[in-house]
Amino acid sequence: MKIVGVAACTAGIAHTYIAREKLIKASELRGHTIHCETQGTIGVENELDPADIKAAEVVILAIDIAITGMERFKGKKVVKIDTGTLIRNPIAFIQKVEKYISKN
Amino acid sequence: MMELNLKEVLDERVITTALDVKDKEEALRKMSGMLLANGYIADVDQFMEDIYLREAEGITGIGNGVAIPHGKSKSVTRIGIAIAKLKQAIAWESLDNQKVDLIFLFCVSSDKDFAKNHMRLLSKVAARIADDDLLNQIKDSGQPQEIVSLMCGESA
Repeated sequence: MKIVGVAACTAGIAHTYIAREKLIKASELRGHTIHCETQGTIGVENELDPADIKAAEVVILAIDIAITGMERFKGKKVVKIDTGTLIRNPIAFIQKVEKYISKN
Repeated sequence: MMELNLKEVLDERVITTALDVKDKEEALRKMSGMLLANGYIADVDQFMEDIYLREAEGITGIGNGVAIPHGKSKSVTRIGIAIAKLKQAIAWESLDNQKVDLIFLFCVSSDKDFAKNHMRLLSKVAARIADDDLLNQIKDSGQPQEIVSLMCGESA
């Protein structure tokens, strides 16, 4: 499936970027397409393309804090997780998302 | 191209492959000492205090024996990352409740506009820590220079 994601942690220094990599790797391993934005101390990087958001079946928010641009996801299916839980077990999380999407 | 750039924030002088410490406090103090000796921070006590402020906000042990504490501090004069492989694993608050034997200590200014280009490079270094194969190679490596090469994506 098509996924878009946002990663953001409290300090915006390390967890944000580790979470993005883990999310991308796990998604691709499970055969999905993903675009993932980061919101950290250096600001927004890899900003999501509105076309990718539109095409996405699910929005994954790997966040520990409030993020900017939530209005972009209005009407979309959104799954939220904290960066720590994602980093700990990314594949299991993606499998959960798959189940959730197939049921909803 | 990117590989060359990452070297700007990776410095073998603040990487050690056999840190002999008994606990987290000692590990952080010794790593801060390395940063002080090489011109990254101006004050170990201030830096340590700021590391613990971040530690209080959430767990920095990310599992598989790896910890990523960060010092976001006004005592920082140069952005970088201290890396230590420990002689023996120590207790650390971790996502998988395991001990830690590899520490990446982020050395970052609390002034968010300070050295932004280096902050960007540091975020790329952080992204590399997501690679379990790379972490295993680092755990097997014996030289600081080798760790720099691995982090830069060069074969050692």
